[in-house]
Amino acid sequence: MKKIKVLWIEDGAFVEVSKLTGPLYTSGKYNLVIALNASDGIKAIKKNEFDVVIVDIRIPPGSDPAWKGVVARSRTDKIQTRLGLNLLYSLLKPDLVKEKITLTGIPEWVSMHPERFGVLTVEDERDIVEDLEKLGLPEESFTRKKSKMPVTALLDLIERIVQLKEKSTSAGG
Amino acid sequence: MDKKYLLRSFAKNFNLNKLPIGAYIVTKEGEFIECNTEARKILKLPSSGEIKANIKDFYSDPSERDKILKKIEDNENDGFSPGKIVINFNVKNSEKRVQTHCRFIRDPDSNEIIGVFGCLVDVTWEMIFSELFEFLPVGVYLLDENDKIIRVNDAFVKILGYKSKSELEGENVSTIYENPDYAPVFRNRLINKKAVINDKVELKKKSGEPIFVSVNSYKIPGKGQSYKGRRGTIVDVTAEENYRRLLSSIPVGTYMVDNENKIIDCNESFAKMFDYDDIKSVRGEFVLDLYDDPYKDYDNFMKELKKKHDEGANPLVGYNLKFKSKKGRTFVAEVNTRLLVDKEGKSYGRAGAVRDISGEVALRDLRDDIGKTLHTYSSNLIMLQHSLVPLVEVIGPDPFDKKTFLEIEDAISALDDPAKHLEKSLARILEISTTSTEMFNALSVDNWDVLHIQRDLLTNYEEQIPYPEFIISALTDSAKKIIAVCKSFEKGLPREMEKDLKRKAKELGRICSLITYHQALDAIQEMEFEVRALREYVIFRQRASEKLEICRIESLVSISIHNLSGLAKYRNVEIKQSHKTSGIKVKVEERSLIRALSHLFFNAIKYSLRRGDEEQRWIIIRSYIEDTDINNRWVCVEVENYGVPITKEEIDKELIFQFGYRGDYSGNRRKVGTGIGLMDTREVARKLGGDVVVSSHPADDGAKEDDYDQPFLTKAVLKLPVKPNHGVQNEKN
Repeated sequence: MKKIKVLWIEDGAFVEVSKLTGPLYTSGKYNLVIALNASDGIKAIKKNEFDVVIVDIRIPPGSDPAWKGVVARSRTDKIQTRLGLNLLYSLLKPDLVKEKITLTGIPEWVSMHPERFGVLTVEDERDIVEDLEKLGLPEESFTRKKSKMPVTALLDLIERIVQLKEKSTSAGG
Repeated sequence: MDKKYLLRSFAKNFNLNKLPIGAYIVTKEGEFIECNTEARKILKLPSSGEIKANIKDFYSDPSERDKILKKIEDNENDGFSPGKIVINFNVKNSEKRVQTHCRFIRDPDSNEIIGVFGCLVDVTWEMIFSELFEFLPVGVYLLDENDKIIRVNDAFVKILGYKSKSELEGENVSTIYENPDYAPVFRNRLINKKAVINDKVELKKKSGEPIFVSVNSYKIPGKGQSYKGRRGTIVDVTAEENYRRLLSSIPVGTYMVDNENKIIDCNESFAKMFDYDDIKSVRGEFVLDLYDDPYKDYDNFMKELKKKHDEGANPLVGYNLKFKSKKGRTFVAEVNTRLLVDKEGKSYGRAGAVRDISGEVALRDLRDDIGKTLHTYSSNLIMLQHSLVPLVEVIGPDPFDKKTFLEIEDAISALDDPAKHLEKSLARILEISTTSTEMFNALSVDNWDVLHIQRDLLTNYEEQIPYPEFIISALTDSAKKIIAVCKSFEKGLPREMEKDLKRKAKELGRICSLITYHQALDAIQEMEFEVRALREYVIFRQRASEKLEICRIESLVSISIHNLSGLAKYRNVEIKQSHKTSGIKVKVEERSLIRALSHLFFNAIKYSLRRGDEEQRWIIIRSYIEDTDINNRWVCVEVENYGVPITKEEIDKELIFQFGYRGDYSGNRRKVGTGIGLMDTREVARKLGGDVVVSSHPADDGAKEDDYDQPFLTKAVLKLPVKPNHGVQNEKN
């Protein structure tokens, strides 16, 4: 059976939340790619088509000067800037993004399949519910990072997104 | 005909005494023929009778008369009136300025000049005032009823930066106002009052530059006290006004108090600080009413102030007092004040500046609280560390050395055998299940699927999981799943096989747990250092400067290394050293410099990587003297490591020195810092006149400078200047 390709854009993937990946591998269903920052996330999206993309909200810019510029203009540090949200807007709703970054070479599957995107973040849902609505991301595509979250949290989120994707495909969407 | 006779006839016919001004007739040579009463008064001549005098004798400069006569003659020849002339006269040893208007008297027959007819007006005072007007250093002006500038003096022209009076006379005065709309406002004030005294007005120079002047202006009344214009003076007070505004705007209250403790004056900041509406309402207030506890504080304060004064008229600086504002709000302020004394040395009050430091006091208290909290964190980390030890003892024998950091590669290779054994055990069961229906029925189809997936994973997990950090969690989960499936085994599976599978799965899980334990220990070690460094930074950096002490640079380096030797050993990092600063001493705050060096060494240890097949990581600490030019000599402590890159941008833009900054590439090497170290180190260095310089280049020669997916050689150098009496000295000096 072909494995589901997952991109996880998360700067703490190898440190704080590495435990979440175990269930993905032991399920035998997923191929996981990690990007530690916004620049690398965009690079990965341009290079491959993913079935699921999970984005952390607070991520560093990486090496791309365009993302660094967003941080510099916001006058906060790179973790406070919520670049993950900016990345999602830039990909899914570029007209709504405040700090515009013109992304070129973004493959069609991104705009055609917004249902593939999900958010795993420390933010409270109340703090970003408006953004999720504007991005067209349903409640099921969001999970909050907490200290006592189960080790299957990432797997559960991915599986919900896959189900949404299947629903959307079968509905002819 | 006799000339004098002709002149006397002229005088008689003319009736000089009818003229309201002084008038006289003299011969061409200057002999008086006739003088009217007014002229006699001016020249102090006898009030009647013949005048035996010559007008030349009244000239302060006799040659001037000839010049005047020549001028009259020339004017007459040109058909012009000779005009009024002001002449300096000496009248009975008293200088007078007289204005005269002269005409020749000619013989009617020959047209020969036989005499001079002159008018005289004593303009001595007018001239004095006119000169005063011109030469006063104060700008003087005269405006008409429509605000047109009639006359100004040289000082007025100069104050406003013009070159001549003609540029101003005739212009409307609003053209020199910074805000022209204010000109009619000022005018209207004078229409209602007689004068405006010492008013500050903002004007504008010819260049457009604003200027503040103090204006005195007096109404020129017309009929029935109507407004006919004004006259007055301006003085440039720009410097004073700027200073006053500066004093008002600075967030420091300035004040003056007399010996009865009454406030004589203050600035706006003072009034605001004490919740007064304005400066006016502060004047005359009793300053002790502003003390929170005058009985406790005032006497001590005055004692200290007098002591400082007696030491040499010194001010009392940095004295903290608790005050209470007019609205009852209490706050702590830093007072800097000095006694005011007269020429005889008698005190007539005091003056000073007061600064609200409540925020700083609160910050200091907060800092102390944070320090205590961090101290608690330190203790908690140690407790956590100790709590993990019995846990590990329960897990079973630990193949890993507790004294050193567990490298990820070593952790993964320790999983090889248990993973292989588990896989073999699993493979046997799966094989039999395909040939024995009884075996197959021992588990559900889903559970067999799970076991197949785990076997697949265990066979080539290093291929399937490209990220080493995830292998441990994957194998942990795999072992858990296998154990869970084992619980579901129904009859049909040989007992020994089941037991073997469980045992192997538990062993894999045990090794994974031990790896997690070591990773936790490592994280605790690092956190402990970071928390201690943060506590040092928060508490000691902000304290009043420590005493400067003379220390050997070698000794400071040695203490810093010793502080980190445990961590270095744990992390299997060899500290290589090379020192060429024997005998060099520095005058520094010892604790701060040790902290600064420790940050550099800690970063080097933390971000170092294993090089190729080498067992140990390493850092090199060097100290040496560097001469950058003939005038600049530095003592340098340098640390170099092989490890995580720092990008060119991070160095060029000094991002790495920003508070809380985490390096671009520090995260993907699984190491995250607090972002304080380099910032603190540089602050300490700069306080001593030195600096920190960082460089980072690919370790492999020929590798691309901007390829950050490779190890870099990074150097951080703390430099201190070698200057006489500055701090760095050679022991031999």
